[in-house]
Amino acid sequence: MNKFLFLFFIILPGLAWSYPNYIGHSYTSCLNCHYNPFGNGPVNDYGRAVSATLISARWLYPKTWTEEDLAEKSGFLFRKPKQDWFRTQVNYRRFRLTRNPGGKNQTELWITMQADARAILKFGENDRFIAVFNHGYAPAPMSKVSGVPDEDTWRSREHYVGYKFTPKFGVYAGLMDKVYGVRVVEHIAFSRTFPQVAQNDQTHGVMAHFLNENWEGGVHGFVGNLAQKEDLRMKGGSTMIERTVGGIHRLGFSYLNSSNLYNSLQSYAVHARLNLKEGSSVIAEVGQTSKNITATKEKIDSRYGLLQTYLRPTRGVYVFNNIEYAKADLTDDNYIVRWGPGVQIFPAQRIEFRGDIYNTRVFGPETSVPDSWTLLLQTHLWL
Amino acid sequence: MKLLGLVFILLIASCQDYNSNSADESRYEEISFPPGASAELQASYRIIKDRCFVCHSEWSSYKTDQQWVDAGLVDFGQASNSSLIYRLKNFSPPGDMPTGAYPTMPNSEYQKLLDWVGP
Amino acid sequence: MKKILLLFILIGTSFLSWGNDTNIVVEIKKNQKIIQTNFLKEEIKLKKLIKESETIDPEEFPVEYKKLNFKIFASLSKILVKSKTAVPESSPQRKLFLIYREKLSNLEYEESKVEKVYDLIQNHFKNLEDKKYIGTFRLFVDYVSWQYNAVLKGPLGEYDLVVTNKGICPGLSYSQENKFFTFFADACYLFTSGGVSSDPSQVTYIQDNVLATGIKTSIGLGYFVSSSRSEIGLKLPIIYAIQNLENPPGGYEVQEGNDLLTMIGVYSRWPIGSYFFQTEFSKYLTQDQLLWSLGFGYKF
Repeated sequence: MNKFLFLFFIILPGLAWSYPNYIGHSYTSCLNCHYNPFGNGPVNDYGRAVSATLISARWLYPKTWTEEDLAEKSGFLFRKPKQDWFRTQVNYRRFRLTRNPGGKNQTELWITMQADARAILKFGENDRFIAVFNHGYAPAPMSKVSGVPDEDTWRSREHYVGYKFTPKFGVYAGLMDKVYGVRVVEHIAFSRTFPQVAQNDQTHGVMAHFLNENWEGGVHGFVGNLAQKEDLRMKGGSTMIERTVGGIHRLGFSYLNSSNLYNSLQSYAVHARLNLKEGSSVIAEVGQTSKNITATKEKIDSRYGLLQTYLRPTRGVYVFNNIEYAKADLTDDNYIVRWGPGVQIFPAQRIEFRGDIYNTRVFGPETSVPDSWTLLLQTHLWL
Repeated sequence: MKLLGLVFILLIASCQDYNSNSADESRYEEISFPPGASAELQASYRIIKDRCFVCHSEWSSYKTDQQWVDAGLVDFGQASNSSLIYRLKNFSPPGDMPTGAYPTMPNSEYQKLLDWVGP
Repeated sequence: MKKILLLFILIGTSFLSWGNDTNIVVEIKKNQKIIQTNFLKEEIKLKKLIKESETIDPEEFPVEYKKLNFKIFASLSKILVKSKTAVPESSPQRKLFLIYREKLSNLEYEESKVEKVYDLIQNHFKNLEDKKYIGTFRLFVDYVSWQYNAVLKGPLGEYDLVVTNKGICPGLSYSQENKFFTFFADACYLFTSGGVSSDPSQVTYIQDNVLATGIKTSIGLGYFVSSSRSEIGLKLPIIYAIQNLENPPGGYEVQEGNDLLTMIGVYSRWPIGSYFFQTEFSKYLTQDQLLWSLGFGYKF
């Protein structure tokens, strides 16, 4: 038993060190760096090397180390793997959340967001066959709803197998994120919460991915998270298609349709990922969701928008703006704009510091309230 | 082989399953009201259940207009005298309800409560 | 100074006479005269072969001839490396420099040194070019939202209010920018509207769609982060705006505070051809409020 325990790793899903804004480094497809072709989840050897030699700064390394040295040391525990069939990764993320910073009602919370590890088995030429296991700590939800029992704090985030019939076509089966929209790292983004593709919305299903010179896309059929009660599981399907434009940008479209005993959800969105060169990029997504409540026959249409600008003044530093729009009910005149400038610093591979300021402003007739402010300071470490 | 199977099951068996749908049953289930309960009361109750019961679970038994009045939360026809209403918007410190980590009530829901209580 | 030292190392002391440019020009002319006098045949032959793109056998040219060409090349590099302005490649001295580089390359004489000197001079002028500031105008329209504090004063006390406005701000900016930095000033006309609502438990006061107009002007500096000319930076905006909120009945009065609001903010801009998008996030210096904007513009 003991010799298999080392397999029991937990992993931080794809928040580790590779994000969709890396289209600014000319990586149009997530498959370059990730085992999951739509991003998130563990990063492959190439992705590790990219994080060491392109994304992260060299501030903590001796000047005598070359980029090749950094790539060689980018593996788990700073070592080049001695075999091809097994990889592992460990992640830790903690942040300080301050509400109303500097104000009369300032509150502070320290939250360990993740403490995960992952195991990847891979065989065949170009990792034709993969099996990914991803288990970790997840904090109990802060926004509880009456009637929902308390949750444990450990979960499987991903477990799936994948087979690439050709380098451009693969099928994956298991627990994965739904194929929809841009998988931005901000799990509270309206573009993730409205269509229910947030950090805990992985689903069991089968997904097909295809890629050619100009197109990339996927189709996903799912039956909900099997660990959940059956009446709550959202069953359905989704698709996302992207086209390369100008050789360096991507435009895309997504559609999702799912339902459980209590409601059904339809979402569709268009998005753009633009390469501003040398690591800078813009990500935009606009979408609409339609929720039908079974018991009351009520239909709620919502709309959301996301604009992220990532500008890289120097290697290892990204200055970003996270601008969001949300209208929870299209029959309502109220809407929210949330603005979040911030900075992300990678002083070396495996270390990320991030600071975000969120300003939320509510608009509506006969409504004028002070903005709410939140400050997020985050540390992320991985091996 | 059996050991591998056991490890596999252990790996995929998650303990926490909280996600965007965890509250669907509670949020969208059928609720029974006494005869005569107005449509406005029923719509408002559902909103209050969703937004407020997490902290104010004692209100869950108030399924008639009179119960809300007796609790001192509602003064029908006087929204500015109904703490259930005036605590929701533009409230001086300690701030609007729901408070803390919970999202602000959308205006569409606020209007439904106003429709029930009166201006 | 570093470049001159590097040149010193590359071309050696035998070709160095660090007099003023006049002396160097004299030296160039002297060497050219020696070539014309003693190596005229070789000079004509080399020029003809280069012009007709014929194969050149360096062995056919005397070493002394090659050395003289190198001396001239070195002398030209000494003049050019001291230049403090970005002289274009079409200028006589740079053209001559390129001609001698081509000659030496075809003669296969001191090729490594010649290329290093060439790179040094080219980089020198590229740096000068990159540092040159050019004036640029931009037209833009921002979608802007801004808030400010007000106080409702009346018989029962004072109540803090927040006024929220949104609208557009079309304007113009002028910048001095080089490859790395930009310094700019901009101004736009605020054409916004909004309102205010009070805590209903205290007193009912609501205003909606009240026009708020004025001027917003800023100075700032930015840094270009990529070859696409995307930029980030800081700005100091000032708003002067007028918004006439009505006083509510019952003896109440709305005091709107200063019409002049000063801020400090961050901005970003990313171009698509001659068009661009921009964002701004500015915090008031004397209030808790914030202005943000998202805009679109055209660069001339």
